[in-house]
Parts: sequence; structure tokens; C-alpha cells
Amino acid sequence: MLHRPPAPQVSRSPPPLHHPIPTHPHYAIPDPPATPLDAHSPHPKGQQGQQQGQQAGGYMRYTSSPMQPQAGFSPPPSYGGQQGYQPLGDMGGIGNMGMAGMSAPHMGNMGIPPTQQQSVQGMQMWGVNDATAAMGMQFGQSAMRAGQDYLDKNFSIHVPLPLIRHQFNVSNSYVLHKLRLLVFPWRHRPWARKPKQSDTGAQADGWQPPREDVNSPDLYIPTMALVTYILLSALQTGLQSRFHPEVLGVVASKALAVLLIEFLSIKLGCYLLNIQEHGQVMDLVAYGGYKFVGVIFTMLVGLLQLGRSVYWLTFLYAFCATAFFLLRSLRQVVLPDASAAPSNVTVTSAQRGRRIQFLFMIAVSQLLYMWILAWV
Amino acid sequence: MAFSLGTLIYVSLLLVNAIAILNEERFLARIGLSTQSPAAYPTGFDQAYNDPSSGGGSGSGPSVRTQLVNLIGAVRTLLRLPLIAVNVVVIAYELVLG
Repeated sequence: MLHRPPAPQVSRSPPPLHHPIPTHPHYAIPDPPATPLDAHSPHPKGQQGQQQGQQAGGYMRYTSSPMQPQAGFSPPPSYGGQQGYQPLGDMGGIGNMGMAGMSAPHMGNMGIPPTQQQSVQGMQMWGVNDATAAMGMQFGQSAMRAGQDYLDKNFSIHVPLPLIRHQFNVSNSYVLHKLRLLVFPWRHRPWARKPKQSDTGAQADGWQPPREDVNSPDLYIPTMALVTYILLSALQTGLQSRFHPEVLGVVASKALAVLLIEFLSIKLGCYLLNIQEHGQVMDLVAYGGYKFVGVIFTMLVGLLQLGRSVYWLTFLYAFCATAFFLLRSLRQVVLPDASAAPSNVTVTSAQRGRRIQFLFMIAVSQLLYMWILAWV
Repeated sequence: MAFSLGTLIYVSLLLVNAIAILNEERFLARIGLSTQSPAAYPTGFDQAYNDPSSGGGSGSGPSVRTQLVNLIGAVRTLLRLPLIAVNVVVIAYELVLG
């Protein structure tokens, strides 16, 4: 366009040059005053050409004037900031400025105000970021939910959580009553557990929680008794000045091994005697754990240094109490009552005799277990 | 202080090994615990615990011996391959760290 000052002379030039240039010179030649700068009309052609050149320059300036500040302030603070948000925005500031200078005139030519354009672009970029973040969040949430489901499913398969919750549903009065029962079980009369009464009045399969029924086994007392037993044996070894931190682990391992042996032997006996039991794993563990109460009682007496005979008498008494308690409590596991049991299980007299023997063996084996436990 | 969970694991592993190596023809059949002939040879051991009227699980559920036969058969069938792996692991552990 800067070739236009000599345009009047070159008006006859071949069309390929004229083609991209506006064809005003044709009409500009007859009446130069037609231009807005008509006030200076009495000018020579060269001046007029200069004027037009000026005008063209002005026009150029006009078109370029929005571009000029653009290129000057090419990285506006917000724009640069948004450039920084781009994951691949590791280009230097110069590259940024070049990018902005390149893109800004295009925007100016498109006629959209640059600030709006930038804001639109920024919103797009923010939108992209939001979508990515939302997708990531959703993915994370779904992964976490899947993991939670997996954990819940497998955990509930391997560990019967409702049963455990049922076993820990205790109250203060129950715990006191049960401890009294474990230490002195001779005068307790009804040993049968209370079945759970459903709303319809019919007998539902299930038992009332320990809070309601003192004969129900719980896991609270065995757990606490196990921990107390471990600490108490640590105290005993400490009083004999042979404490070592390893004692805690050894004692815990021994206690768990005893529990496991008893549980396995009861399970094996139940299998061999074909005793139907449903969902009573936790009950058996609980009944096995009650022996710790007697062991703790014995150890407390032993800590009082009252002599060997008192200690052994206490041990024997605790064994008898625990054995009697188990005899009474496991009776309904091994020998279901004819009235309470479902009718499809019939126990013959021979089976009954064998089961009573098995029950008696369980009770007597408490002597071995408690001796292993009390001998720290 | 040797009585702990580790000992218990060893004992149970050895017991299961002992059950798994019982020979069907040479040993189990002779004491009447074979899977093929459950009630063929009642011995004194079975007489003490097993009522003849309820033998073989005819009347009121399987007897002690039937359950025992089932248990031994299940252990010998089911636990053979896992026992090999567990034994290899335990032997390696004992060789390295025992």
C-alpha cells in the first residue's frame, strides 16, 4: 500500500499489480478533492499523492493502532497467567510475547476486542482445566468407591462384622454380672440363652444381644481379659526382674495360640460328632476367651505372695469355675435342647452320650490351657 | 517359652503332612478308614466310639468314622498341592533363617 503515492502515474500499469490494491486511484485522478483532506486541495499531484500516502499511512495506522498496544503489552498479566496454567507452558517469556504478538493482530483483524477474546480464551482454558479436574476427581472417587466396596465385600466375607457388632453389644450391668458369673458360677440357674423375639412373636433364628441376656456370649470380656492378661504377665515378669519387651509379644503369641488350639479342637470335635452349628464361630471364640478371667484371677492372687498352696488352690478353683461355666454354656452348642432345636436334628442316645463325653473333655482340657497360660 | 503361634503353625503343618502321606491301600484300608470300604473292618478303636446301629450314616447322620474318613480323604485330595508349596517355603525359611 505504500506504493500508492505514485499510483496516478502507474494507473495504466498491468492489472496484476492493481488487483490486490483498492481501485480508488481511478476515481481519485479526476477529482483529488474527493478525499477527506479536500481543504488542502490546491496541492500538486505529488503532494496529493503524499497526502494520500499520509492518509493511507493514517489508515494503516488506524488498522495497526489497536495492534500497536497489543504488541506492546502483549503479555497482559491475566493472559500470561493463563499461559502459565497450561501444562506445556514451559516456554520462556519471550516465546510468550511472540505468541501474543502473533495472535493479537489476528484478533484485531477479526474485529473482536482483544480483552473479550482473551477472556473467552481464558474461560476456555479454565473450562478445560475444570473438566480435567472434574474427571480426575470423578475417577478418584470411583476408584475409592470401588476399593471401599472391595474391602467391604471381602472384609464382610472373611470377618462377619454383624456378628462381631452383636458380640460387642454389652452394657455395664451385663459385664459386672458376667464377671460375677465367671468367678462364681455355681448358683446361677437358667443357663439357656434367650432367643430373639421377632415382631410377629415367632421365634426368629438368632439370639438376643449380650445387653439383654446375661447368658449370651460376648467378645468384650474376652478381648479385655486378653489384653489384661498380657499386661499382667508383663507386670509379673517385671516384678521378678526379668522383664524384656519381648515378653509382651511372647505372651500374646502364647495366648493366641492357646485360643486357636482350643477353637480348632472344638471345631474338630464338632465336625467329627456331626454337630450342626451355624454362625457360631464367634461364640466359640468368646467361650474360649472367658478362661482369661480365671487366669487373671489366679495371677492376681499369685501377685499377693500368699504362698504356693493358696496360689494352687486359687488356680484349681478358677479352673473349676471356668470348666463349670463352659460345661453349662457349651451345653446348648453341643446338646441343643429338643424344644429349642429345629426338629430336623434328632440326637440319639448314643450320640448324646458321645457329645456329653466331648463336652466333658472340653471342660477338663481347660486345666491344660489355663496351666499353660498361668505359667508365665 | 517355646509355645507360641509359630510353634503352633509348625505343629499343624506337620500334622497335616502326616495325614496327607497316609497310604490308601497299605495303611488306611487295614485299619478300616479307607474311602472305598468305610465300614469294612471295624476295629477296637471304632468299637469304642462307634455305635454299630448307626454305622455308615444310615440313621442319624454320619458317624465319627465316616466323618474321619471324609476328613482324611479331603485332606489328602485337597491339600496335596498347597502342602508342597508350604513345605518348600518352610524348608527354605528354615535353611536360610533357622
